[in-house]
Amino acid sequence: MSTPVPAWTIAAVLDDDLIVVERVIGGIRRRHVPIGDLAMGPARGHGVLRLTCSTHSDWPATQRLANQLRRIVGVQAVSVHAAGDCLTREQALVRVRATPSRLGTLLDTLALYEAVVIEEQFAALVVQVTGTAPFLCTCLRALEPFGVLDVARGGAVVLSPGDATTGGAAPAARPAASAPFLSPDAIIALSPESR
Amino acid sequence: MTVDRAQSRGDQVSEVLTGAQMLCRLIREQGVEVVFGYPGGAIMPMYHALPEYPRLRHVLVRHEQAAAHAADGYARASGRPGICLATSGPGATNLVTGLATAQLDSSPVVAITGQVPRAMIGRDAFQETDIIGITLPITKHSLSVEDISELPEKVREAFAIATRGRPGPVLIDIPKDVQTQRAAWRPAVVPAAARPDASPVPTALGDDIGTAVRLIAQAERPLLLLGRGVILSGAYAEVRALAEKTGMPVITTLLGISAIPESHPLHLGMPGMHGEVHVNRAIQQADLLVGIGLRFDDRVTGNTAGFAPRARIIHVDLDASEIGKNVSVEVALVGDAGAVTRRLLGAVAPRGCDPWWAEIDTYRRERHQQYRGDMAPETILSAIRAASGPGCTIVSDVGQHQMWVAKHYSYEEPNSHMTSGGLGTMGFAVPAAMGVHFARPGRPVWAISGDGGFQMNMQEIATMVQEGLPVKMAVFNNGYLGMVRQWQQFFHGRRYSATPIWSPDFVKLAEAYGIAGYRVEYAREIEEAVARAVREPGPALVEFIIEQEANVFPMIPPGGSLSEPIEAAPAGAPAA
Repeated sequence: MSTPVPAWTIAAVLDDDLIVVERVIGGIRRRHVPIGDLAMGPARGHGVLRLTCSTHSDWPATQRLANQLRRIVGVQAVSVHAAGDCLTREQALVRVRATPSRLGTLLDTLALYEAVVIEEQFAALVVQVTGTAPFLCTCLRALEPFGVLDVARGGAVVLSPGDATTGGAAPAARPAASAPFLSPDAIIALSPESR
Repeated sequence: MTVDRAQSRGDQVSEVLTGAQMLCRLIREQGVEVVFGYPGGAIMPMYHALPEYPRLRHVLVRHEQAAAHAADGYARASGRPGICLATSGPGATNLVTGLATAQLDSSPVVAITGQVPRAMIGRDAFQETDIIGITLPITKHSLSVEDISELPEKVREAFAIATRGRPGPVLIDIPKDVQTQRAAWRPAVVPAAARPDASPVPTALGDDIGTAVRLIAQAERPLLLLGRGVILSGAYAEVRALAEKTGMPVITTLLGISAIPESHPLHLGMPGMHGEVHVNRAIQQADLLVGIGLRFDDRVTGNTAGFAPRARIIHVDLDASEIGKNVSVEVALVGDAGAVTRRLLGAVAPRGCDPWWAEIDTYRRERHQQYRGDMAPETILSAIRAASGPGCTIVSDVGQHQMWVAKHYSYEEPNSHMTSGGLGTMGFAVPAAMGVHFARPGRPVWAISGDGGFQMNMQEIATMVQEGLPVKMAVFNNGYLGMVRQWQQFFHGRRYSATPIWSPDFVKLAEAYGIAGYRVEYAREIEEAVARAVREPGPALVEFIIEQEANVFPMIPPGGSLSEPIEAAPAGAPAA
C-alpha cells in the first residue's frame, strides 16, 4: 500500500457503524480493484465517517466499484476524483534518528518539508509531515540517510477544490475538534501550490 | 393471558411485551402469516412466544437451509418478505446458502437468528458465531439488536430494506436476553403497508428517454430483453404493450421467464448458454437491445467481448450499479421497470419489425433428439402442464432439467416460473416450492429436480407431510449429475469423475414418508402418473427415468461467444 501514484480516489461518506464499514471494506475487496491508500475518520456531522480509498485501476473498474459502494445501505454518498483534480493530503509521523553531529542538517531537511517536531527523544525525533503522497515519499527518502526508525502514515484524504459538497451529496468540511489527524479542515487550510 | 399489561401514569395503559413477543407482532405487521424455521437454544424465547400468535404459522423444516429457500419461494411468489428463523451457531450458518441464493436473485428474505446472550458475545460461547460477519457479502443488509428499546425500529427497518428498491435478504441477529427483555409496545405510527418509501426510486431523465425513443425508431433489428426486474416490478402489461407497439421480438432471461406468455407471437425464447440458436443469433445480428430489468450476466452474454457486436444497448434497471457493469450501454434508464417502460411506451411511435422477423425465422432450426423410452423432457413437461393447468407454479432446481424446464414448459401466467438463477443452488426447488404453496394456496405447485439436487433437500418431504403441503415433486433421474457430466463429456474428454450418482428407490422413499410415489420409465406412462400425482390431496412424487447421457442443446462453451453454439455431442460420444 501507499507506494504507486493512484489514478483515482474514491471518497465515501457513510454511517458511523461498524457493520457499514465492514460492508464497504468487503465491497472493495470483492471487486478486485487494486487499492493504494485507505483512510477513514470522522466526517462532518455526528455519526458520519469518511472513507477515502485510492486506486490505480482503470476508469470503468473504478466506476463499477463506486457504484457498488453507493448501493450499500448506510453509505450516504460516494464521489470519484481524478488524481490532480482534487485537494489531497496525507499526514505521517516519522521517528528519525537524531545524532548530535547531524542534528543541524536534519533540522534543515525537516524545514524544507515543513515537518514539525512533535517529540524529542533520546537520539531521535518524532516529526509530523503533511502533503500529497508523492510529497511524503520524497520527504521520507530525504530522511533515510539520517535513519528512519518508524513511520506511521494516515492515508490520503481528499476534498473537491472550491466545492461546498463532495460529489454533490457529501457534507462540507468543517473544523474537526476530535480528529485532527484526518481532519478535512487541515487540508483546506493548505493551498494546492504550497507543497 | 400471557401478555403483560402494565399501567403507567393516569389512565394510560401500555402493553409490556418481551422482545420475542414484539418480534411476532412486528412480523404480523408486515402482513406475513407464515415463518419457516428450526428452534434451538438461542432462539427459544421466540419459540416460546410463537404459540401466543396463532395467526403466525410456523413451519418446522428439517434443515435451516430449507427454511431460507422456503422463505425465498414465499417471497418470490407473494411479493411480501419471506421469513426464516434459526438459532445461533450452526442454525444460523445453515442459512448461508439460502441467503446467498436470495441475494443473487433479489429476493426479500428476512432471516432472524438468535444469538448468545449479550454478556457472552465475543467469548466463543457455545453455539456462538459471528453470523453477521459471515453473511455480510451475501445480504443486502444486516442488523444486530443490542437492546429491546431498538428492536421495533430495527425490525421495521429490516423489512423496509428487504423490500424497497431492489429487494434482497436482510439478517437480524437478536441475542437471547434481548428476546426476553420487556418493554412497552409501541405500534407503528404509520401502518407498514402505507409507510412512504424511505428511498424513492429514481426516475429516468427526459433526455435519456428521448434518446432511447430515437434509437428504437431508427433500429432495423431491435430486440427487447426482459429479466427478473420486470417480474419484481410487476410490469407485465407495460412490457407486453411496448413489444406490441414496436413489434420488437421479446427475449426472456432465465429469471425473466413468464414475464410475457410463452405463446405470445412476439416471444422469441431464452438467450445465453443454453438459449436456442435463433435467439442467440438474433442477439448477435441485432442493432439495438432494449434490456429491461436484467443484469447481462455471463450466462446470458457468453464472452462479453463478442456479445451483440452490432448492437447499441438501452439498459433499464432499478439498480444503477448494474448499468455498465458487464456490458457498455448507449442509454441508461435508471428506475423501476414498470415506470420507465410506461414512459417509453408513451413516447415511442408505433412501428413494425417484419423484415427483421423474416430474417430471424431463417435462423430457426428443428432439433431431433432420441431418448430412451421416448422419455423426452418436453413430453414430460407437456404432461405436467396439461395436468396442472395454467395457474401452476413451476419451481425448478439446478442442472440439465432446469434448462429443459426453462425452454420446454409453456408459461402463460406471470411469475409462474421460479429457479435459482444467479447462485445456481442445487436443492432449491423442493423447499422453495413449499414457500410458494403458502403464498399461493389452492394453486398447484411442482418442484422439478434432478436426482442430484433432489437428494440435497429431500428430507423436506417430512415437512410437507407434517404440514399437509400438497406440493408435487418431479425427479428427472438419469443416474448422473447430468450437467456436470455433460461438461465432462464436452470439455474433459468424457472422464466422468464423481458424476455417476446412486439414488435410493424414490418410490419406496415416498412410501416411507407416507406419500404417493410413482416411477415412470416409458413415455406411455407419463400422463397417467402425472395425473394421479395431481389428484393426490397431499404431496406426491413422480420419478422419471430419463436418458442417462441426454444433453442440453445447444450449448455455448464456457468463455465462448453466442456465435459459437455446440449443437451435437463430440465425436464418439452418444448423440442424445
